[in-house]
Amino acid sequence: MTREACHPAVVVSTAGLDTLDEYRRLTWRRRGLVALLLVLALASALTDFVSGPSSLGVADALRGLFDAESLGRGQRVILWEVRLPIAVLAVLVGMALALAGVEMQTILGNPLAEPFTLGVSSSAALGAALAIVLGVGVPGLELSWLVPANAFVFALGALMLLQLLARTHHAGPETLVLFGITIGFAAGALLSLLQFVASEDALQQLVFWTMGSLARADWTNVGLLAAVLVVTMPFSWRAARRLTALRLGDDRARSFGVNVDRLRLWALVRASLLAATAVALVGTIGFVGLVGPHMARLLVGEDHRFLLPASVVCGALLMSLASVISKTLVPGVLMPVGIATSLVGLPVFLALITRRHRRR
Amino acid sequence: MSTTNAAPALEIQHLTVSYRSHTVLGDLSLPPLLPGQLVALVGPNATGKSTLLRALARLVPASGQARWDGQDLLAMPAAALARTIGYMPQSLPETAALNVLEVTLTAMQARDLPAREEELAAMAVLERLGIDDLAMRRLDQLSGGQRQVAALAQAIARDSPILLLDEPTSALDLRHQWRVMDTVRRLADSGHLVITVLHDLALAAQWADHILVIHRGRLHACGTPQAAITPEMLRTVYGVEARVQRCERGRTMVLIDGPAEAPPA
Ligand SMILES: Nc1ncnc2c1ncn2[C@@H]1O[C@H](COP(=O)(O)OP(=O)(O)OP(=O)(O)O)[C@@H](O)[C@H]1O
Ligand SMILES: [Mg+2]
Repeated sequence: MTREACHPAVVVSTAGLDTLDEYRRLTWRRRGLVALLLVLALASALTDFVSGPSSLGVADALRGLFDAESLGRGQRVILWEVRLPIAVLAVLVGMALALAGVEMQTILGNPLAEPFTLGVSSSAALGAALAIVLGVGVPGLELSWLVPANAFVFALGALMLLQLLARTHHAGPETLVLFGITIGFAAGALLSLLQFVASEDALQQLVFWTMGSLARADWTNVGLLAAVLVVTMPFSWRAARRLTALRLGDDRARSFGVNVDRLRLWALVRASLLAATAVALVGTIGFVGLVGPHMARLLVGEDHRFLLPASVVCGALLMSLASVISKTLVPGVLMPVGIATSLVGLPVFLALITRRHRRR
Repeated sequence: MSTTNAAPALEIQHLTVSYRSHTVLGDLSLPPLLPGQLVALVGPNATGKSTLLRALARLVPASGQARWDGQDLLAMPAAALARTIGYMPQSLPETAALNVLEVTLTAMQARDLPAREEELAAMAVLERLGIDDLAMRRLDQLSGGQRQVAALAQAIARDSPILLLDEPTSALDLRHQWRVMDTVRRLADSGHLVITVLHDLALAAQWADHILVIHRGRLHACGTPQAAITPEMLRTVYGVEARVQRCERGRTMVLIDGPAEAPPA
C-alpha cells in the first residue's frame, strides 16, 4: 500500500484559512479570559487578606505582606498566621472543588455531578461526626487531626465504594450517579442518627463543621492541599483532549483511541483525592464544585484544554469571594464560609442559567 | 505485517457477537474486502449490520477473526486500531459546547499531528464535505442533518485506511446524500476501504461496487449490485414483492409492490 494513497495533499481554500484564523483568535480570547479570571481571583485573595475584624488598616496589611518586620508581633501573627493562610486556603479549596467537579461532570456525562451530589461530602461529614461525637476514627491521632483524617478516609471510602459498585454492576454513568446519590443519602441518614445521640457540645461542633469553615486554616493545611493539587493537576491537563472526546459519547471516544474505562477510573481517583482533601480540611462546601465549572463552560466552551484551567480559576474566584463575604457581611463576625459560598453561588448560578436560556 | 507485496485486505472469518445469551452475529465469514472498494452493507432492521461495524471497531466483544494487512484487529492496541479504523456510529453525536472544528480536531487525536497541520487537515475535510461554513458553529446549534455530516467529518478526518460508516445518509436531503456518497466514493477511489451501512438500495446500487446482504446475522448474498439486488433476495430477506429495474448508466430502481405472500422465512 502506498502511504500517499491515504494522504492526499491537504488543500484548504483561503476562506478556510480565514476560518482557521478566526479559530485561532477564539483560542486566544479563551486564554485571555482565563488570565482575566486569574487576575480577578488574585485580586479577591488580596482583598480577603486585607479585610478582617482586627484593627489593621489596608495599607499596614499590604506593607506587612512585603515587609513583615515593619509590623508588631501581634499584627504579624494576625497577618501571617491567620489571614494569609485563610486567603490562600480559600483559593486552593476553590481550585480543588472546581477541578473535582468538572472532571466528575465530564466522566459521568452529568452536569449536576460534583462532590456534593455524589455523596462525598455527606460521607466526609459522617466520618467527621464519628470522630467528634464518638471519638471513633483513625487510630493514633490527636483530636485536631482525627476529624479531618476521618473525613478524608470516609470521603475516599465513599468514592471507592462507588467505583466498586460500578465495576461489579458494569454500571454506566447514569447508574454511577444514582449510586452516588444513594451513598449520600445513606451517609446523611447515619449522620442524623449521630446528631440525634450527640451531646450538646459535640452537636454544636458538628454543625459548625458541616457548615464549612476556613477558620482552621494554617500552613500545614495549605501545604497539604497544595501538594494534592500539584500532584493531580498535571495529570488532568494531560488528559484534557481525551476528556473532550468523552463529551462526544463513549463510543466515539473509544473509536478515537481513548481508553475510556481507564480515563474514567483515573479521573475519578483525581477528583476523589481533591474533593476528599478539601472537604476534610474545611468541611462541606457546596456550590463551588457545581458553579465553577458551569461558569467556565459558558465562558470558554467544553474544549478541556481551556475548560479545566477556566474551571480552576472560576472555583478559586468564587471561593475567595465567599471568604471575603464571610468576613464582611456581618462586621466583626466570621461567618462559616459554607454559608457564604451558597450566598455567592446562588445568584451567580441563577444568572448563568437565565442568561443561557435567553441566548437559546 | 504481511511479507508479500499483495495489497492488504480485510478478512473476516467466523465472527461471532453475542449480547448476553442472544447471538446477533453467528459465525459470519465475508469475502476479503480490499482497499479501493466501497462496500454497502444492507439488510432489514435488527439483523446485525451495526453490530458488525461495532465489533470491528471493538466496541462490543467479538470472537473469531478479523485481520487487516496481516494484523489482528480484535487484538491490536487501541491507538493502532484508532489509526486503522475510522468509525461513524449510527446515532448522531451528543450535543456539547464544542464547535464543529473542535469536534473534528478531537477526533484526530490518535494521529498525533502538530497543531497547525491538524487544523489544516480538519479544515480540508470540512470543505470536502461542504460544511466549512459550520466550522465555528456549535454542535447543539446544528440541525440533525448537519450533525450527521459533522459526524462523518469526524470519521474521515482520522485518515484511516478503513472507514466504517453506519447509515451516513439517513438524515440527509438528496443533495447532501449525493455529496456524502460522492465524497465517500472518492475516498474509496483514493485507496481507502469504505464499508457503509445503507438502507436505501438505490443509493447502494448507484455508488457501491460491492454489496453485502446481511440477514439474521448471516451473509445472505454478496456481489455486485446487479448480482445482489434481485426480486428473490428482496422477497426472502425483506419480505416484499418488488421489481428491480435496470435503467440507463447502470442505475438500479427498486419498485416495491407490497408485502410478500408468505412472511420471510
Ligand atoms: N447493546 C445491546 N444489547 C442487547 N442487544 C442489542 C444491543 N445492541 C443491539 N442489540 C440487538 O442486536 C440485534 C442487531 O442489532 P443491530 O443494531 O446490529 O441491527 P441493525 O442491523 O444495525 O439494525 P438497524 O437497521 O435498525 O440499524 C438487534 O436484535 C438488537 O436488538
Ligand atoms: Mg444499525
